[in-house]
Amino acid sequence: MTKNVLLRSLVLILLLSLAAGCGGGNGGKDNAPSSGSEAGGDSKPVLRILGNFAPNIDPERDIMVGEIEKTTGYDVQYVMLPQDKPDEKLNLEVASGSSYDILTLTAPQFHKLVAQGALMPLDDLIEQYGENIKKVIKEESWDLSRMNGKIYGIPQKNERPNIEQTIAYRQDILEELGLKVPETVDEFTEVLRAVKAAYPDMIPLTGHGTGDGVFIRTLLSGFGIFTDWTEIDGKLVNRFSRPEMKDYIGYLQELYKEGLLDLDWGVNKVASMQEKFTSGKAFAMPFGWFDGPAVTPALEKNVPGAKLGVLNPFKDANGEAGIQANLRIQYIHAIPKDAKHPEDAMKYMDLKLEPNNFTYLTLGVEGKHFTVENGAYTPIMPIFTEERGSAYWFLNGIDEYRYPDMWLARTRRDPNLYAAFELLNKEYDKYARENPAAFAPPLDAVSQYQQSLNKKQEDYVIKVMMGSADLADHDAFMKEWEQSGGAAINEAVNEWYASTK
Amino acid sequence: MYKRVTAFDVINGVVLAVLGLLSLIPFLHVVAKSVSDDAAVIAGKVGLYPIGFQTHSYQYVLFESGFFQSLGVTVFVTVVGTFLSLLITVMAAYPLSKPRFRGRKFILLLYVFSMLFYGGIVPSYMLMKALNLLDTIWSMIIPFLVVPFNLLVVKTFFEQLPESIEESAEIDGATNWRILRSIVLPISLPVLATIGLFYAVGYWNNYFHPLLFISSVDLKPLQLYLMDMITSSSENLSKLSIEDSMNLTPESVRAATIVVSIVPILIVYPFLQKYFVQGMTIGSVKG
Amino acid sequence: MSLPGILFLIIYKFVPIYGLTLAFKDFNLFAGNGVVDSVLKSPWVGFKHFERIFHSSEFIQIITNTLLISIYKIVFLFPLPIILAVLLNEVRIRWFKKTVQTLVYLPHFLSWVVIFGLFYALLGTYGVVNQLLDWLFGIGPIRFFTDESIFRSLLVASEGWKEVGWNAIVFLAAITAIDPQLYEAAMMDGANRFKRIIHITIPGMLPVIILMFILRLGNILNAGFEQILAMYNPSVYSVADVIQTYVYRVSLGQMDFSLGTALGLFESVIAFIIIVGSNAVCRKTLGRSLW
Repeated sequence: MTKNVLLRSLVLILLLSLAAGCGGGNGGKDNAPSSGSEAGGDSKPVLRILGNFAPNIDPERDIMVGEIEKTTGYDVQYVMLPQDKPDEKLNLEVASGSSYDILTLTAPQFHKLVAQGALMPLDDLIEQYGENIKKVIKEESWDLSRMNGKIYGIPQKNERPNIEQTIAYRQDILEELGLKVPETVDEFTEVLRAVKAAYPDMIPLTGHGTGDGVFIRTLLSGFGIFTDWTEIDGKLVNRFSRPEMKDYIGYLQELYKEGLLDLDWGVNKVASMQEKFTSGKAFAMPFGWFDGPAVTPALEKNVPGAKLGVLNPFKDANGEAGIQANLRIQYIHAIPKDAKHPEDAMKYMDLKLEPNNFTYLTLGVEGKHFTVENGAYTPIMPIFTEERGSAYWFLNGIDEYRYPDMWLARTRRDPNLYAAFELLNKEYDKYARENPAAFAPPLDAVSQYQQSLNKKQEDYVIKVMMGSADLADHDAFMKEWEQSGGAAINEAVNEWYASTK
Repeated sequence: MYKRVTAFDVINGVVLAVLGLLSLIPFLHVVAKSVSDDAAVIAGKVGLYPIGFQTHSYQYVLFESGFFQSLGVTVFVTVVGTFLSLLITVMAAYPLSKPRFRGRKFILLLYVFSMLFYGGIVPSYMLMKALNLLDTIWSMIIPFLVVPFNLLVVKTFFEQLPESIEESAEIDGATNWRILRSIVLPISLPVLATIGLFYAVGYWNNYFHPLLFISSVDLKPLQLYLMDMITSSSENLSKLSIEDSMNLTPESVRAATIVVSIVPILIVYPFLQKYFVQGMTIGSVKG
Repeated sequence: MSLPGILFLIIYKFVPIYGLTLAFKDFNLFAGNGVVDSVLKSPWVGFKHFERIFHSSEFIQIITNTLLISIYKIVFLFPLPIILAVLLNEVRIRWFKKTVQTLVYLPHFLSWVVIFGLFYALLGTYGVVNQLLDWLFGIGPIRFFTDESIFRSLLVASEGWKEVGWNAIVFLAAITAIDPQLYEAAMMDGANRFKRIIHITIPGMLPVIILMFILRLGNILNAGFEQILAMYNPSVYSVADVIQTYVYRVSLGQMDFSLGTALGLFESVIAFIIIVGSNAVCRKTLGRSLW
């Protein structure tokens, strides 16, 4: 009887594995587009593209999939990485030989893959098939995806340089107290003190302890720190190593001691911070224009009469003010070394950058989806969002000359967002500063240490601010900082910088 | 049993009631958030009852494309997985509960070892790939067929059963299978219900392995689907593009996703509770 | 009969074990042709990764925190689900018992991120409790989240709230497996409720209690990574930073499979030693053991 049992179990297991195997074989293909263009050497092959996570886009059913096929003639299968642990999944898939033709990578991902030889050099392909690509991407942009003299990806910068951050405050209270808008750090301190005196239960300035919530650019400007890297005597100096940074940290510490800061600054998550501001418990907080859609209506609804104002970067001792413009690489589009259809992949990307195609795929049809007046692009709602809302995720490169203006149409989709965007960028030309290291190519030391070093910095500032560390030990900390990657990054960045001169 | 209500009963009742409330209140808070006005949620004004009623959060969660597909995937995985898991776990635990089973210690040690030592996500991924199970629905079931912890619990329960019950059946010439099926299982309902619950919740909430193994949208299980739906702005700033920030989900949606993923378990558990009945062994001992 | 289980074990649990070698290598995903090949071809570095953890300046602190927090949790939280199960069992009003039973496991399903939000609203410096304290007694805010002497208690309490109800389920099942005839006999002998609990209920649950205890003990290096990550902040690093959170911060952005594997291996070895050891102790003292 037992032998029978054994036999039965074995059969069961075999059946299960078979089912799994068959199911596996089919399961993967069930979702392939059924247009059958895989057969035949002349018809275009199905391309597979892997991209990073974006919220609320279905890569298989989005309307853009059909639009792109219509425009380029290519049937493309899009796959999206998950929100959590995308790097692990990306690397596993690429290393184990999944058959993607194009990878849309963030700069750190690009660097890792190119350093490990997983990507295909594209110089020849671009020469042969990339006419449009060459026309719309500026010469200096190619440096971003060049390693050892070869190009490994098509760089896509962010749409339009802009100012992202500021401090939001209760303009109504400022007016009520008869104060003028602060332009220097000292004036700001006075305002905070006045608010505290008038409203003892209100938190003058709140902030959060995640990410770089302690490095408020508006304030940093008042200490002469405008960008992450500054050129001093021909070398690039990291903002954290500058002596002014110590003053900044000391300043935060004093404000905290005086009770002008949120006592729970280090504990706050972004949501907690915004809660306090929008419910009227806090007077000011760091603010980005992308917070506009959520925060502004919430504030106005919950606190009758409240008005949201934003501050310009403060003037430093020399009367100068500036803030780093948001200028960075959005994505780099690369082709894996073992891709099956590299020529078609290049042709595909090239087709999308052909001027008319590009307009069609990003904005739609003039008159139907958008209008143009004196160079100002405006979307026609709601059809614009319905049919082009997710178009940005399907980009494989942008027209660097035209897109900055075209893109404003996309921002205008959400009036609250656009209002906040305009507010912060009203005096862009006056305040925007470029980070000299913004377009450094992928550097080993940076990709290895930058993130953990950032965290170390943030933790340190919070500790000093809230009293569990002492500024007297600053030098000791700086030594630690250097050993944890600060020195390595410094060296690498400066090596690169010297080579560009 | 005595009908008199003692002081102990009263105190017990009060203590338990307080515990129950403490556990319920946060859940009420989450439910309230899910139907409240966004502005109120962001300002943290929602307590135990909603402020400004809206249903768009639930509409968003439930009726966007993909929800029911993901739900279906998870239901399939949970039902099939729990059934198979129970089957295999019981089959494995029963022999291990018999002291005279040869190799018992060794096999038990193997299970304990496997419970503690994990090779890492890289080999797991490669194993799935080698078996052609990547991006299939079975990749969410097969790696979890046996959870050694659950196996140990079942084994412990089996060990506690009175031997006389089984002995009398053996004397009558029943096989191991027969004994397991007709005698042991019917009186093991509490532990089966418990472990069934553990497995079911495990399958239902499973998120990490599908993250790695699944790429097609159609095979996304519910938790992954819900997790991907929640993207907050400033915390993800470095990873999001400006465009992404126009596609973010409102705060109340986050609460709605939590409610949606808990409700099915809430529905199932009371059905399992009826197996937590004392006295399954009454009358089965004849001698 | 045990064949499927064993087969499963071998294929899904033991085959991937080769990945543990990564703990002793510098893993380069692209070193070979394909991932498995890369595992084989990545260079051996001996104990380098372990040294990175053990020789860090904070090592004493993080290992102390890990052990202390874990021990606090075991000492205070292990008995609670047992007590809860016993109390629930003594309830004779069916609907009350069922309702409480269902309610009490709810918090288990909330994520730590959500729970942080709840506890912060309650216990934050500007939260409900502190507001009440100020209003009723005029005492200054208690800094639950940033005071080093209180934070660990916060960790223990919040985990208790989250898990006690869920952990009680196993013990409830254990109680229902006790032969009611034992109770009847005891009552006829005149034993009151407490005597019944102590002499029948608890001993009846003993095998399960021992199982749970040994396993929990084995988990001693697991002080609650997700919880701590969600709830801690730099002000309390000195008391709440545990091995896993430290490694997490130090390897941010690096995707260091090797370091993670090394850490996991370390935890596994310790757990294994403890479980085998405590099992042997149990066998000698109580006559019962896992095997």
